[in-house]
Order: sequence, then C-alpha cells, then structure tokens
Amino acid sequence: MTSLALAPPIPFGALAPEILLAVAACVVLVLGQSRREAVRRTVVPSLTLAAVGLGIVVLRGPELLGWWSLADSGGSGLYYDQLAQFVRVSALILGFIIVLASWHQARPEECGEFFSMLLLSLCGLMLVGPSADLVILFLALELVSIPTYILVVLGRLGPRGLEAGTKYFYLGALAAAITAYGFSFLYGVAGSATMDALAIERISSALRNPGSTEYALATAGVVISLLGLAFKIAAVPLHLYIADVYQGAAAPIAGMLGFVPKLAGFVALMRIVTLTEWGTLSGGLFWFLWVVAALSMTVGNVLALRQTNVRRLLAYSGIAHSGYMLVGVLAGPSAGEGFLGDGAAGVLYYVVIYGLANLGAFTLLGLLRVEGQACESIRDLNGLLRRAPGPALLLALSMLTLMGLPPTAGFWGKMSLFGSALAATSQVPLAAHDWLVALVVIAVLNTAIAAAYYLRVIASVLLVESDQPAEMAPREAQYWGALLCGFLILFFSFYPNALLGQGRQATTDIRQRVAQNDGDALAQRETPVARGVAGLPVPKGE
Amino acid sequence: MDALGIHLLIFLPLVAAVVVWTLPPRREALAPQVALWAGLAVMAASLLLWARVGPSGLVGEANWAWIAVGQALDGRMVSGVRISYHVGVDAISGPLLALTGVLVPLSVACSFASIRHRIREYYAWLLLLTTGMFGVFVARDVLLFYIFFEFTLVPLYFLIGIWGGQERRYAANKFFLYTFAGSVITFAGILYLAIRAAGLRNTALIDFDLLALSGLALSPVEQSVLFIAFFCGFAIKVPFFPLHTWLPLAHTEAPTAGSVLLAGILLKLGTYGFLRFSLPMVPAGAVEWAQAMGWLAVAGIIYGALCCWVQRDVKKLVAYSSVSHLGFCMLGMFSLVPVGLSGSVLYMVNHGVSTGALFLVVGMIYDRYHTRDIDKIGGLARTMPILTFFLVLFVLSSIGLPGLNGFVSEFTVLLAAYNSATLGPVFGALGATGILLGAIYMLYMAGTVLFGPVKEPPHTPDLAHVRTRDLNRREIAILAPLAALVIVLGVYPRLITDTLDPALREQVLSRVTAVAADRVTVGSASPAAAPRNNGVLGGGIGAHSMFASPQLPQSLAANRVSGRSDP
Repeated sequence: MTSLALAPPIPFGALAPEILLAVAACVVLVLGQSRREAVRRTVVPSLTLAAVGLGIVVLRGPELLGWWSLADSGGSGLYYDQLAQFVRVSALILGFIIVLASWHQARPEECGEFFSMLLLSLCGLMLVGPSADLVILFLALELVSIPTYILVVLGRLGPRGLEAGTKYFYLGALAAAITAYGFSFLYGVAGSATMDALAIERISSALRNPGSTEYALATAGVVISLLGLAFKIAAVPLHLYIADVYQGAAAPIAGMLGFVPKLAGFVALMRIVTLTEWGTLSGGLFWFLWVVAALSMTVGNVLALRQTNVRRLLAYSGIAHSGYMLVGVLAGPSAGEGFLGDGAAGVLYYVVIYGLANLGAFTLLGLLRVEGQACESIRDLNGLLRRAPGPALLLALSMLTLMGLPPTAGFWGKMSLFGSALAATSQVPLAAHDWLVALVVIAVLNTAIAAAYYLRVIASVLLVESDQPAEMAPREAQYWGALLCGFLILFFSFYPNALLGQGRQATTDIRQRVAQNDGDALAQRETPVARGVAGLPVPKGE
Repeated sequence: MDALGIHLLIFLPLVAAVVVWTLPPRREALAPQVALWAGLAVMAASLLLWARVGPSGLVGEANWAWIAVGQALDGRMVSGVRISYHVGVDAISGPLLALTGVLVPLSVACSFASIRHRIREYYAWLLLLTTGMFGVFVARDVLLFYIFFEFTLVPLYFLIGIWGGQERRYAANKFFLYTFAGSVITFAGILYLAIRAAGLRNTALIDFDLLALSGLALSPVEQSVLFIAFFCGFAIKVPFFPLHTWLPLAHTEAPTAGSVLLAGILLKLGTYGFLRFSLPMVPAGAVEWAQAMGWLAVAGIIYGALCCWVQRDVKKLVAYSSVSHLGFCMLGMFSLVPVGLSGSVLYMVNHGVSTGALFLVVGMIYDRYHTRDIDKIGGLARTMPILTFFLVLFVLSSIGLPGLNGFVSEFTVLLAAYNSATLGPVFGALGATGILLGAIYMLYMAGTVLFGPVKEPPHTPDLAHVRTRDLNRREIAILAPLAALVIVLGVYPRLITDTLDPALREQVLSRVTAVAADRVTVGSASPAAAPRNNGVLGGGIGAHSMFASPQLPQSLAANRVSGRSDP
C-alpha cells in the first residue's frame, strides 16, 4: 500500500458487516419504543443476537465461499490486513457472547437503547481494526467509547451508577482530547493523516535523529497518543475511573468493558507504534512503555490486593492485565520465532482470553443473588459450590485463567507475552537489555501477587461453607453466555494453537512492515538471524 | 505397551476423578472403592514400569506434539514453538514413580475412616493430585513438567483447605502462594533458557524438550542467574531452610492422606527438579552455588532438628523432621560426587517411605484420640502393641538405624559431603549432628507416647469409626507394605542403585564434572584417574558399596584425594 489516498473507494461488501450492525442498531432502537412489552423483552435481544450472528456470516461467508477476498485491499482510510480480520472476527464472536450475557439485563423500557448502543460499540470496534488513517482511527475509537458511556448508566440510576457514568464520561472525553492532540503531532511530522509507508518512513526517520525538532515532535506525538489510549486499556495513569465504573455498571457491561475498549485500545496502540521502529524500540518511547507497564502491573495488583468487593477486585486486576499486555507491546512483533517471539500476537491472544474470563466472571456475578441482593463482596460468594456447582466451577475457572495457572488459557497468554519480551532482549540496544529482563521479573512477581487475591475468591467459592449461599437468578440465556465463555476458555487451555496461530497470522502484515522498516534502518548493522526469517513472506492460507 | 502404562498413570486417575465426582449422591459409598481400585491399578502400572527400567534409555517413551505454532516442512517443524506431550521413564525417575505408585493406594485407604463429609469431592481431588504427581515424574518436556508441577498445587490446596484441621484455610493459602510465587520465577527461567537454546543452536524452532535444553554453552553468568531462577521454585518446594515456613503448617493442617503425599511425593518434586533440571542444564551455576546450597542444607538439617526437639504436637514434629531430612538430601546432591547423588535419590525414596509411614501412624493415633499432643497421650505400648511395633520400626528407620533404609542414604550422603570437592569435612561433620539430634527428638517422642503409664484424653479412645482399640486389619494392611519396604531397602539398596548409578553418571554427573574440571586448577591428580576410580565415590552404592567392600578404609582414603581434585 503505497498511497491510500489515491486508492479507489472500497467495495460495499467490505463494509457489509458494519453496515449490518449499524442498521440493526437503528431498527432495535425503534423497536424498543414499542408499546408491547413482549416485543421489547424478546424481539429486541433476539434481533440483536441475529444481527451479530449474521454479521459473522457476512464477514466470513464470502471469503470461505471464495466470492471475494478482502485480504490486503483497502481504500478510503480503511485497509483490510490480517489484523483487521482478527479484530472483526473476534469482535463479533465475543459480541455474540456479550449479547447473550446481557439478555435480561436491561429494564424493559430501556431495552431498545441498551442493545442498540451495544451494537454501535461493536460496530466501532470492527472499524478500529482496518483503520489506516488517523482521522478514521479516532472516529472509530469514539464510536467504541460514546455508546459505552451510555451503557454504563442505563438501568443504574442510583448514585453509584451516576457517579460511574459521570466519571467515565469526563475522563473519556479528556482521554479523547489527549489522543487527538497526539494525533495532530503525528500528522504534523508525517505530513498526512494516512498511516501508510510514507508516514512510517517519515516518523521513524525523525525518531532516528535525537536532538532534532522532528525527533521531539515525533516522540511527543507517539507518547501523547499512547497516553490518551491508556484510558481505553485502563493503564496507569488514566486508570482512575475503572473501579467505580466496573462497580457501578451492570455486570455484563462491566464484562464487556474488559474486552471491547481494551481490544480497540491495543489495536490502535499497535497501529501507532507500527509508525515507529517497533522492532527495535528505543529512546523515549521505550521508557514510556516500560514505566507504564511496570506501574500498571504493580499499582493494579497492589490495589486489588486490598479489595473485599469482587467487582472492584476484578477492576483493579484489569489494570494489571493491561500492564502484562504492554510487556508484549514492548517486545514487538518480530522478536523471534512463533508465538514466543511475537509480543503483538501475544497481546491479541491475551486480550481475547482476558475478555472471555472477565466477561464470564462478571456475568456470573450479575446472576448471583444473596437475599435478593446482587453479589458484591467476596464473602457473598461463600459456599457457592454447594448451592450451584456449575456456576461455582465456572467462576473458579475464570479466576484460575486470570491467575495464569498452567495449563489454563491465561497461562499460554502470559507465556507468550513474557517469552517474547525475553526473546526481544537480543534485539533492543544493550542498555535496554537488562531493563527488559527486569520488566519480565516484575511481571512474574506480579503474577504471584495476583494469585493471592484470585485465590481469595476461589477459596470463598469452593472452600468455605455457608448457611446462606448465594443463589442463581433464573436467567437461562445469560447463564448460557457464561457457559460459552467457560467452554472457550477450556478449549483454548488444551488447544491454544487455534487462537495463538490466529494471533500470529494477524500480525503478519505488521511484522513485514516492521521488518522492512527496520531493514532500512539496520542495513548498516549486522542483521540477526531472527529478523531475516521474520521478514520472509509467509505463505498465504497457512 | 510401556507407553500405554504411562498414559494409564496420567489419564486413569483423571478419568476416575471425573467418575467419582459425578457419582449420584446415593452412590456416594462407591467413591472410596473406585478411588482405591484406580490407585491399585496405577500402583501396578508404576511398579511394572519401574521393573522394566534399565541403566540407560527411556521406557515407554511417547512423543506427541501438543502445542505447535509455526511453519512445518515435510511434516517436521522448522520454525515456531513446540511443546510436546513427551513422556517416558528412566532410572532417575523410576524409583520416584514407583514410590508414588505405592503411596497413592495407601493414602486412599487411610482416608476411609477419617473423611466423613464431601466424600466424592475428596477422592476426586486425591485422584487429580495423583495425575499431577505422575505427570511430573514422566514428563520429558520441560514445559510439560512445569505444567504438572504447578497443577499439583490445585488439588492439594483443596485437600488442605476443605478437609484440614483448625487453621486449614490459612495453611492452604500460605502453601499455595509460597509455592506459586517461587515457581513463576522458575517459569521465567525456563522461558529464557528455551529462547536462548534456540539462539545457541542456531535454529528458528523453540523447543522445550529436556534434551534440547541440556548441555547448552551458556555463559557462566547466565548459568548462575538461571540457577537462582530455578532455585526459587524448587527450593521452596523442597523446602530449603529459610523458605520452609509453609511446610509445618501445611503438614499439620492437612488430612492424613494429604500429609503423606505432601511429605512422600510433593517435596520430592523440588529435589527432583534440582536433579533433573538445575544440575544438567546449568551445571556451571550448580557448581558455582554448590557451597551456598551446602550451607543452606546444613542449616536446614540443624534448624529442623532443633525445632523438632521442642514440638509438643506429634504431627508437627514429623513435619519439621522433613525439613531436617530434606536438608540431608540436598547436602548429598550438592556434594556433586556420584555416591552423594545416588544417596540423595535414595534419600528421597527412603524419606517418602518412612515419613509417609510416620504420618500414617500419627493419623491412626489421631483417629482414636483426637489429639496429637505428646503430653496428653502415653503408654500406648500397653493398649496398642501392633501400632507400637510399627511406630518403633518407622522411628528407627527415620533415625537411620543400620539395617533399615534410612541408614543407607544418611550414611552415603554424609560420606559424600565429607569427601566432596565442593563441600568438605565441615559440612559432613555439621550434617552428622543432625543424626544425633534426630535420634534425640524421635526417641523422645516415641518414648513419651508409647511407654510409661497409660495416659489417654477423656472420652477416648473413640472407636466409632475404627472399631478396634489397636490397629484393625485395614490399617495393618496399609502399614505392612511400608514396613516391608523399610527392611528391603535397608538390606538391599541395590534394588534401586544398580540402574540409578549409571543413569546419574551419564545424565547428570558427566555434565557437572566437565564444568568442575574446567574450574579446578590442574594439579595433583591426572584426569585419567577418574575412570579408574571405582571406590565408594566413583562406584556409587552398588557393587562397591560399603557393605560389600572389605577395603573400605583404603578406598576412602584414595577417594579423598581424587574427590578433591578430579570432579
């Protein structure tokens, strides 16, 4: 892709799934005003589920049938590489589960708004994937965020819900402004808003000359953009909202917030970092990511350690998980071979697994009732195994996955992230070498800290006996959502190849671009073996 | 056929666990029986496998790719990452596998009377633990090993946390967190090693196979750091002296079966990890740190023994004695001489047998008197003569009475430490005080509990579940095999060492001595002397052991010299 601006408009078929979701969102919004409660309670969620399901068919069908392939085509600020496909497929699959998990969540009079916002947010996530233009990327990110501001307060009119909504909205707006500010620097350095090869070359050549004005501008642009994106992924320093929002929002929405904005944020982050020399991060960007990763892990885990409220605990642990994933970002996509040398693939894998485990846990929490009240504190979960063995085991599975105990799916994710960071030590400048190893050590120590609080939840669910254990609310569809999460986690625990391979494939284009870019920069230096292999074209359909 | 046996060891308990857990409530009484039959089946399989083990080579090897992401060419992976389900038994893991096989059905059987609530769950967790333990010993892929190593935490966590004593939850949490915190650092070390291995071998394939990761040309600094990374996980499991504080608590609070398996098998995961991974993979690191390990081991021996001396709780006393005994085991291992290594493996087996048996006996006393306080029970010799016989036998074995199993390993370990080039006479002498202290605390405990005037807590013995005042037939059947092992292994340790010694020399010592030879300045003895050296140090405990060797003094003296120069 040399010049996207001149590329022809993309075909209708490429945008069909997004259009489908947007249309469905409008239909659902209108149907939600119906006077008949049956329509609002049953037809609206069913229609939403059907739209998401149909979206998967529209997205994957034509390619599987061989009608057309979107691979490596694009135009109008969108570019369909493997990463875009990964994002769109996983958004729809997880979206399907999210819809199931929030089936009866909305109050009858708000059903229309609830599901239409859900669809719009998913639609935004699907647009983040192929965004190849700073403006489109910004718009897509806002399309992800704005519906979530509404979702957080829907049906939660108590002071807690309003506090969550207000906090989320103001901080979100601030973060969006920061991101836009950073993008403007990048636009200034690159000379165009399109993130094409030319922009990459200009920005990375600016970053190669410390001391120059361009260097300062480019560094500021990348760092400020990432700072704004830290809000989406809930990383330090824009993590302050997370506990209140996760506690204040409806349970499945809190689960959704662990996946949709996180995936959007990390994909955007990867797109931005690709503009620099990702394979050999150095200078200000390296230290920025290093500090944010280390702080996120440590702050998240230490705060989570002190919580007695399960939702707040999961919220703070979400900060830590973003920290782990930033380790993968720091490692870069071309550190070595396979998923142990591809931090970007590790991040993609981990986002999905974390999303599943988090969604499963929150869905179950939303379904559990103690004396008619929703489960909030860890103590409320006491003795769950006796009353409801299925949910208890599912909750324990989610916690073990988040903990990263082998051989759960979370373990493979951590292995991929930390392994790539260790593999990357041979690539970064010597001064950074030990710091990268130190970051991995911090990360594994944090894993151990995290085990302490996850274990408290597991202990209260499985070990402790209680006279009045929590009960499951009779909501079949939502329980099915949690079951689906559990099934996928188990599947990826014993067969992680499937998702790891997908993640690895998704980063193909980024890797090639990074290798090409680094190749220019490192032409004088001796080339490590791994980079030569990573730069080879990968056979299609592998 | 052999491979089938190994799959059976891993998957049969797994299937049995699912069966037991899903039994309908009215069939709950079937749970112990299913578990017992599964236990007997894996016992048979593990003993058969061990019987087929030779001095070299793998028995029942199976190697299936499990997780393979990357590019393949002609069906072989050329780049990417590969983690395999690679299993097999050799002479080093064989004895421990057999020990696991023996202890599993016994620990199932000892729970019949004492576990009376959440029965199905209990046996399910016990069987899952069995899967994990066998998995650790048969794994030939380092990551597979690590997965099983970590997996054992979960069942044991529940066994302690649900069916344990008063402070069970605290004990279970402490146990889990301690071990998990250590092993994540080990995990980072394994990752680093695998990635470095691919770089050093100049291949694009990251492989976690044991052989692919052994004998790499790592720099001394890397080896030293990696040794510490491995140490973090394994030393907590062993447990080494300052990291042992989870152990007395976990042992005391665990139900009898949990204590038996914890002491018998799970502590050995740490020592086995050192032997199988630390020594062959980072030999220079091991040599570098050997003396520090020696000091920690000696400190553990003495500290553990002193702690035992002041215990009033019998179970806690046995738990602390494990700290002391495992110190001996590590002392032997880091002497880095053949006899020390094979003594160390023998020590693992012997400790598993005698300490496991002691925990069983203590559990049987507790079933009757609901107390383990030394001061509250006394004179059991008059009321329970059969139990007294077994307790005295196991106590003597634990102290190391010549003729019983403990003696062989204790003696060889101390001998090795005394003669070692890395350690030395000081370590041997300090370690020997452990034997003395061991005799004091063990005999003191046995004397108070067994002899003197009859002393029983009020309203006891409680015979509601065990029916007879002295041991019943089930309990005798549990202890008898262990008693037989105590005597057999004491009289004929070659049962294990005949195959063990050559395997250790080939897989572990060859690497360590190669490193040590580089480090020791060339001097007094020529390197060519090493193969001729067939005395106590060179020949292990086998044909040239102290029992068979009439010229013991000369060979000892000769080896003092060679031991200091050639390893």
